Amino acid sequence: MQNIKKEYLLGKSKVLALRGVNLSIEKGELCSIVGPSGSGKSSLLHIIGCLDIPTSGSYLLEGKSIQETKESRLCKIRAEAIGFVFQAFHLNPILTALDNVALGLRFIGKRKNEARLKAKEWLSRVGLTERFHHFPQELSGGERQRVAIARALVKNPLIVLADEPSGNLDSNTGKQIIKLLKELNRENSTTIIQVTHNMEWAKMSDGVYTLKDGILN
Amino acid sequence: MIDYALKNILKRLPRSILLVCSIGLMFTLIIAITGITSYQIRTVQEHASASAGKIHVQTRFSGTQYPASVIDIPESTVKNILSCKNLQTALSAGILYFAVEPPLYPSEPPELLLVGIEPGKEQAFTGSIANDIDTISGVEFFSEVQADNPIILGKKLWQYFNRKEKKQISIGNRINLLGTDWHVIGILEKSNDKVVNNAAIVPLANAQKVLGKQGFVSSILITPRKVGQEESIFTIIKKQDQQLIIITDELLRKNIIGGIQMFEALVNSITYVVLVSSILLLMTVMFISVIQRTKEIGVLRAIGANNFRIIFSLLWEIFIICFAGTLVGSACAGFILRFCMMENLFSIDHIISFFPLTFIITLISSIVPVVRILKIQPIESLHYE
Repeated sequence: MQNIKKEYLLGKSKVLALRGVNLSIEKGELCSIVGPSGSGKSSLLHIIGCLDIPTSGSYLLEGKSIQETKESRLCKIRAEAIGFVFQAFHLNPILTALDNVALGLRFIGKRKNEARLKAKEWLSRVGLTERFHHFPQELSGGERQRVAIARALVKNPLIVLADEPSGNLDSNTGKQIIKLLKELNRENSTTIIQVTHNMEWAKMSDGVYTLKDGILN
Repeated sequence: MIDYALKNILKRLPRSILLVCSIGLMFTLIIAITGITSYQIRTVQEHASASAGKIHVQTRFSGTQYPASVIDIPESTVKNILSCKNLQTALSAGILYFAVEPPLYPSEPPELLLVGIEPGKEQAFTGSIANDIDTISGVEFFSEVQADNPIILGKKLWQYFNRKEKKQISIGNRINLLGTDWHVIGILEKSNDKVVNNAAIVPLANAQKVLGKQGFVSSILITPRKVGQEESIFTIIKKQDQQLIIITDELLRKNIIGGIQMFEALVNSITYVVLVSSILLLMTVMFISVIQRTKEIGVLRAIGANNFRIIFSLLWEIFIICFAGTLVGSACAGFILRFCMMENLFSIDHIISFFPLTFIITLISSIVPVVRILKIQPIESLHYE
């Protein structure tokens, strides 16, 4: 990413969330982006994850520019290459844990049975063997986040983006989640970028970037 | 994504039931109203066409109504008019009409009509029996059997008495009508002639005696010998009595059809109001339902669903809901038309014509908000509250 800027329009005034961010991540790296509230961490993560487009600047993913990419191609990238773990989990309430995890695989053309099999495998890896057929509202916060992590990782993405993955959890559960992410990074060499305001958890990663007033250090 | 669509329908059961019921109600109302209207119009048109070729002479108290409702023409006037040489004697007669049971709907003939006619002139009222279309059991002329109080029943009236007596009436049986026992000598069915099919035909003298109207008839039915002789006949009639009104078949048809046109216009207006209200309700519910799923659509896009998959899933939901609503509406409309109208007016054509309409309406009201949601960045959808 080079000189990424992101501007929001709030009523009649403009807010510059990112003021020229330069970022380069190596494959297999586990890195953290820290910063105070309102510093632009989530905005940066959403741009990396193709959920939003920068106002200006250059973003290359595997050598290809994202800005010049059509929405249909971006959908494909989100389906195959990017796994997102949201702070608010964003699980589908009408689907069980198993179906929530399997859904992403359906989007990359996997058949239902094959997708469910893989989903079971990943749910077991995150320690939710007993929770396949529970709905999100029947799970605890930590369990929901595990489901979200399984959903992000089941399709074997290039990058996993975790936006405050422990933000809505108590400290013990939060620590377990961060440890889980570190384990998965080690086992699968998946690039993981997490956004956090907790320095203790940030130190568990390979690299820490600080974002303040829209500038990354 | 069909299973995803099904899960959405089942998990959002109150919304789904509301939509299915709305569609079902819309279907029921429109089909029932249009079915009943079509039946009415068809009946009236049959009624109008059954009067073809007949000329009726009535007093102004009966007006242009067919059958005439007032029994006030003296038999002496009948005799004088029928003595005209330009008339076919066997097909011209004085007739007494009495509505024993009123019509079910406006512009229809009475449900039970007593018809008194001079023996030997039965065909003036019934017309000739064309055996490949019409049917007759027993006899069609009073003179063919020796019976006191003979009666010839129209088919619909025969069915009426079967229901009333709780047994099948046969030739030779007796029925009670207006406090008098009658001997059934014939059962007659005339194609497309509701007046004859609803008639109880008896000798004129017997009808006059039962009603206490000896010496009077309701109407004089006349049939010219040749086409073009009508004017001379009308002159003779006017000379007899200035108060008499001559009703040609053309005038009768015009009056009958004119009456139903107003009814049709009123019913069409009601149908349009029902249709528009139902469409607005359906569109509102679908629109709000989709807008409420903005966040869900954002999540789907975030985990890799493309626009096609999202729209395809929605299409399936709409299809299933519309299909279920059409089935519910079919059942209700079919029940109303079959059991309340005593005739099977419901057909598969109703489903074939109605289902695409509901599908398109629901589709338009859903696609518009979905397309709006798909145009914004996924993160904006995720932040929607």
